Formats: sequence, structure tokens, C-alpha cells
Amino acid sequence: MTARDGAGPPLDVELLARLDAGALDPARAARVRAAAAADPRASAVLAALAATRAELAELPLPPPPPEALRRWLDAVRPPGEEDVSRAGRETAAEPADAPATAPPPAAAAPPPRTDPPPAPRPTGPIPAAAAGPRTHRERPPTGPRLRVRRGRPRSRPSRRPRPGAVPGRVLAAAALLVVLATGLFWPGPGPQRVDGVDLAAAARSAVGSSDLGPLGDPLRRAGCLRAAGVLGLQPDAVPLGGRRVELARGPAVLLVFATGELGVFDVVLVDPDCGPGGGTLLGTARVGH
Amino acid sequence: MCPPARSDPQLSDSQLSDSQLLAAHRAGDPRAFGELAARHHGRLWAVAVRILHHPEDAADAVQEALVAAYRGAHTYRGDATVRTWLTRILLNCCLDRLRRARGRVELRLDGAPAAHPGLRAGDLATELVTRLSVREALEALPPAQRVAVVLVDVQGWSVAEVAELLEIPAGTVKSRCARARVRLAALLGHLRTEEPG
Repeated sequence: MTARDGAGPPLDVELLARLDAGALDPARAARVRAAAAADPRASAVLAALAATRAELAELPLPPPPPEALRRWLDAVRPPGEEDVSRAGRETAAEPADAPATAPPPAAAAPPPRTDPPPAPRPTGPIPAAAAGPRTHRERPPTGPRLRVRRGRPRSRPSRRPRPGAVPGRVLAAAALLVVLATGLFWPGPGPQRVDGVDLAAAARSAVGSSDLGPLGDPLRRAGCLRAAGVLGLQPDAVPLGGRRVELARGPAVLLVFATGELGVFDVVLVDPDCGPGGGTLLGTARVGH
Repeated sequence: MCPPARSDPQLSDSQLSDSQLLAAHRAGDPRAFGELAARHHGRLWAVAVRILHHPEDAADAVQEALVAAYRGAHTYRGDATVRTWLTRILLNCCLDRLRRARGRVELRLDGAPAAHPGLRAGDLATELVTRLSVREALEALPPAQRVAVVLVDVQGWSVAEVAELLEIPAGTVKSRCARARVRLAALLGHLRTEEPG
């Protein structure tokens, strides 16, 4: 590269890169830019740098290892503390250091928490998993994590179907197909894939549970359901319950919604980071009899 | 100045700002830091995995950073956002790992980037026949350049934000980005050097 920016040095790649990065003073930048515009080779260099920046901007983000999220949150939770940390919050518009907002209207607010007395300042032993990364711990203490038995869905006495209603067996089979198609599995002693999942039992066990993490926030949950594109479900529908679960691909949140039919639920699985800014619908099913 | 811990006990952790959560943690709230970690772990992960390349290393670095922040919450001075503070801790964890992995590379955030021991100058001077992946190309950068270009070009931070994070002049951030982009452009096949005349 031997073209010159007027009386200045040649337009070498380093100089052009500094121009591209905004590292030149305005006057010099203007001269170099003008000279580069008249030099095909310099223009090609600038185009190459722009292409590089574009490629970097599109670099996909790999997901963390499946156990990582739990490990991270366990590392900063004092031993013996309940698993009430809110997993997977990645707020699209974080409050950062903005002042705390006023509580939402009572009707939409989550139930107030009964805070225990503040714990002593953590100057003593470090929380359980903080001794070092990837400590070979046993599975974390059981908390409200969903574990579902392997096996086929329970058979239930058939009921006379309503006119136009889909038979329960068909619904259960459809639910099973959805589960299998989405690659869900429920952790046992170690990661394993199961051939059948008692999703109905999973849904019933989640009813009344509020272990939703950040999706316990009604506004966030509504934004999540809207962003994830859950068909046939009002974004602001109030779930009957839900809980955080572990899937093959990583953590998820299972939400259970009423269908208006006794014993029949809509189950929705979304990623823990789901929110107004985006979310991944991991699976849906209608379960029950 | 750090804000006081929550003044209204009816406010849940999710309604507190980052600074208030940190203050609550310092005051002994056992759940406050967990909320903070849940908010920021995704962002920390994104930075770590793009700097360290290997997911397990990145996951370890995030954990180390969160634990370090948990322990060292009293060191937060309030002169930067909590996000910046956490990211700064993470970057130090990442660079420590890189230093342990590649002993000859200098890893001072405020120093001049050291030559990458694994990439000879001749590799860049010759015409490339194989185009590296972006990940491989990033891994070939000296750590200081890698940090700068990951934060600016991959994560989308502004130069001013990165300068504040790294506590270096904005001009230094720009220079590191410029050098990094030249190397990357060559490694990615966008830029070919002149053949000798």
C-alpha cells in the first residue's frame, strides 16, 4: 500500500485501520479518508475491515454447559438457603442503577415474600460451591426441581368424550409426541434420555408451585409468552403454577395453564431467560384426561 | 456513592436496582446476590466464552467471577455501574486463565499487547489458503486485543464504555481494536497482503 494521504505517510494497512477505528484526529482522518476514496487498494482494505467487524458482530453465542447456571447460582447462595434465587434473568432493559420502581398494582403483584431476618454479613465460610470451579459435587440439594418418573403415561379410565372433543388417549399420545420431538428428558441419577414421560404428573405437581424464577414477574412472563409466540394462549394468562426444570439442552421453566376443562392443562416450556426481549419456546403440550 | 439497602422491606429483590441489591447483600440479605447473579450471568457468560473460547473454561471463569464479587462486594466503590464492576472482575478471571494457559503472554489490561507466541509473523505475511473460523481467529489474538475487539465488535459496547471498564484511555481501546481487526481481517481471509514485487 503506497498511496499517500497528501503530504502524509503512505496509506498502509495500520493507518487505514486506525482511520476505521476512529483513532485519528479529525483533520488527519479527513485527509486519509479522501485519499483512500481515490485509491482502490485502500478502499479494499477499508472494506475488508468493515467485513471483519460485520462478521464479529454476527458471532453466535454458544449456550453455557447444562449444569453451569445451577452451578453459578449455587456458588453465591449461602448453604442452607432455600433455592429461591431467580434463575436466568437477562433483562432486556435492566434497571442498572436506576432507582427502584414503585411496586406494581396489588392485583398483579407476586405474593409478598416473608423475608427471614437478615443473615450476618458473609465474612465466614464461603457458600457451598465457591471453593473452586467445577468442584466435584454431588447433585445439588434437592429443591423444587422437577423429576419425573420414566415410563408411559398412566392409563386412566376412559370418560365419554364430549362431542367434538379429542379422546384423552389421543391427547396424551400427542403430548408424548411433543415431548419426544422436543427432546425433553428428565434427569435421574445422571443425564439420560427417557422414552416416556409422565407429563401429566409433571404438570399436576407444578400446579400451585411458584418456583418460576424471573418468570414469576407477571409483566416479564407476559412479555415472554408474547415473544416466544405461544399460540392459543393469552400472554397475560395467569398460570396455575410452574417450576424450573432441567432438560437435555439445559434449564427451562415449565408453566401450567388452565384449559377450562377439569384435569386438563396446557403445559408450556420456555427458556429461563425468556422475557419481553425474546425467548425460546421449548415445547407445549396439553395433558390430562 | 453506594445507595443504601432497600428502604422499603416490601420491595422484592426483583424490584431493586443493581446497586441496591449489592448494598442489600453487603447488609446481609442472603438472597440479594443471587438475584444479582441471575441478572448478569448471561452477559458475563457471553463475554467469557468469546474471550476464552472453551465453554468449560468460560463457565469456570463466570463462577470464579461471581464468587469473587460475592466475597469482594465491600470493594465496590460505586464509581462505575455494577455491570461494569462485575465485568471487570470477570475479565481479570479470564486473563488469569489465559496467563496460566500461555505463560509467555503478558496480560496486563493497561499494557501493550504482547506478541502471540503461537502465531509467527510469517503466518500473516504469507497469502492464506485456509480461512480460519472467527473463533479460531479470535483465539490467535493477544489477550488485550482480544478483549478489546470482543467487547466492542462482538458485544457491542461503546469505546467509552470499554475504556471505563478497562480503565484505559479511549484512544488505547481504539488502537487495540484497530490492530486486532487487521490481524482478524487477514486470518479471516478478508485482507490479503501485497505479494512482493
